[in-house]
Amino acid sequence: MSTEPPPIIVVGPGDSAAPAPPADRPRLGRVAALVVVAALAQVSVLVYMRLADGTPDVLAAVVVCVALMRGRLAGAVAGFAGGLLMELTSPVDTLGAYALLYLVVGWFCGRYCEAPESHGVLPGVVMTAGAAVAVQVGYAALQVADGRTLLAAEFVQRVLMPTLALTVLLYPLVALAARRLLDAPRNYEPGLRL
Amino acid sequence: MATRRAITAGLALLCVLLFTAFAAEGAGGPLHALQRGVGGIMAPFQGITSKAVKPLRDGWSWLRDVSDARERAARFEKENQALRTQIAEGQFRQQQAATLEQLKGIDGWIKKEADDWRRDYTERPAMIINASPSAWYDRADLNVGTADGVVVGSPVLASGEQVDAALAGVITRASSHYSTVTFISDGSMAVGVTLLPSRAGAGAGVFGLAQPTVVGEMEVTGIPRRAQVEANDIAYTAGRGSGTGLQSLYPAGIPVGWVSGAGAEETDAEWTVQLTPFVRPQPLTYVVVLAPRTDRARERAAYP
Repeated sequence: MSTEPPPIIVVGPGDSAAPAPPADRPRLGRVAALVVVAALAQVSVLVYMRLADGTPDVLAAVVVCVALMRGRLAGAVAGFAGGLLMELTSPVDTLGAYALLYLVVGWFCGRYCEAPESHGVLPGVVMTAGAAVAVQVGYAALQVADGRTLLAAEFVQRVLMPTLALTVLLYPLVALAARRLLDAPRNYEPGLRL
Repeated sequence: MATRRAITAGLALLCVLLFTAFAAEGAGGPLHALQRGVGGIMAPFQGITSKAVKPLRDGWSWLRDVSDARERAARFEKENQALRTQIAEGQFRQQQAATLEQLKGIDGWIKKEADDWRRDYTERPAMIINASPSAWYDRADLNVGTADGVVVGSPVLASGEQVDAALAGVITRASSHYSTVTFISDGSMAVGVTLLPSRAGAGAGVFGLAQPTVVGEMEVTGIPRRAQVEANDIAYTAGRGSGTGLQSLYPAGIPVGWVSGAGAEETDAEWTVQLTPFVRPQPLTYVVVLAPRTDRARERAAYP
C-alpha cells in the first residue's frame, strides 16, 4: 500500500509541463474565507437579485467548487459551515436544514475531485445546476413535510427555474475565483500530507 | 477514508439534531436565541452592505421593471393607482360612516373603533437590510427597533403596485435597533379582512380570513355564498381575527389587496376568493412600521 498522496492535477494549458504548486498546502483558510464570503453575499446581496422568486445560489456554486478542488471532506464541511452560517444570519425559521443540504451537495460533488475528466467547466456547471436544484427541492420537501402547501408547477416556474438559471450564470465567476484562490485541485484528507 | 466518513456522518447527525431541536423548541429557546444573537451581531454589517449595494438593487429592480414593461401599460397603471388610492381612502370611511349612521346613539365605543388608525400609531420609515434567501419565508430585517418605538406586533406598510400604502406584514422580532418583519405572503400569516365591493351600491362589506396560498397570491375563506363578491373588490384589514370576533394585530381600514377571482360551485356554502396583495415583498427597499403610541395600539400589538 503506497503512502504517497493522490496525484496533483493541474487544470489549464500545459498540464504535463506545469510545475507543482509551490505551496503544498490545502489552503483551508482560503476555503473558509470563500465559504464565509459566499454565505454572507447570499444573505446580504444576492437575495435582492430576484427573478420571480428565485435567487442565485452562490453558496451552492462555491460548495461545488470547493468539493471539486479539495474533495469530499472539504466539500462536506464547507457545505455544512456555509449552510449553517446562512441560517444563522438570515430571517429563516430553520436551523440545520440548509447545512444538511449543502453538506450532502459537498460530499456528493467531492467524489469527482479524484476524477481527472471532471475538472473542466461543463461538469462544474452541471454539478452546480444539480446542487441548486437539490437544495431547493430538498428544502421544499422539508417544508411540505412541515405541513406547508406546495403547488409543484408554481414552485418549478417561480422558484426552481429562476434559481437554476441565475446560479448557472454565476458559476463561471465563482469557478474563476475559486481556482485563483485555491490553485490546483487536490484531494484533502486529514492525516495526509498535501 | 474512514476519518472523513466519520466526520461527515457526525456533521450530518449534528444537522439533524439541530433541525429537530430548533423545530421542537419555542421561539424563546436557546437555538432561537442563538439565531437572534448572530443576527443581531450581523445586522450592522448587513445594514452597511445593504446601503452599499443599493444602487445594484435599484439597477436590478429597474431591469426587472423594464422586462415587465410589456405586461404593463404605464399610463393605465398611473391612472389605476390614483383611482385605487381614492377608493382605498374613501370607500372604507364611507362604509364605516354608513354603519355608524345605522348604529348612531348606541355607544361611544363604536365611534372610537371607527377612528382613523393613524391616530394610534407613529409612522417609522425603515430600510430593509437583510431578506430571507428562502422562497418559503417572506421575511426581512429592518434598521429600526424598540429604541424607535417599534414592538413585536407592529403592523408594517409599504407602497403597493396600485395603492400608495398597503399592508405588508407585521414585526415578529425586535431588538433595540433592528427588527424582523414577516410579510403577509409568508406561509404562517393570516389576516382578517373586510371585502368591500368595487361597485357603488353593491352591498355591505363581508368578513373573511386571507391566507397565502401559492407564491404571490392569497385566498380568502369564510365568505358566505349569499354575500356579493366580484373581481376587483378591495380587501381591507377588518380589525379583528377569524369568525370568533377576536382582536387582530392590524387596525381596521388598511388596504390589503384586490379580488382577482371569485367563484363557487352550486353546492358550495362559501365563495372561493383569490386575493392579490397590493404589496409584493420582493422588490421592496423601504417600508413604514407603525409604532404604537396609544394604549389601544399597544394592546393590539400585544395580542397573541
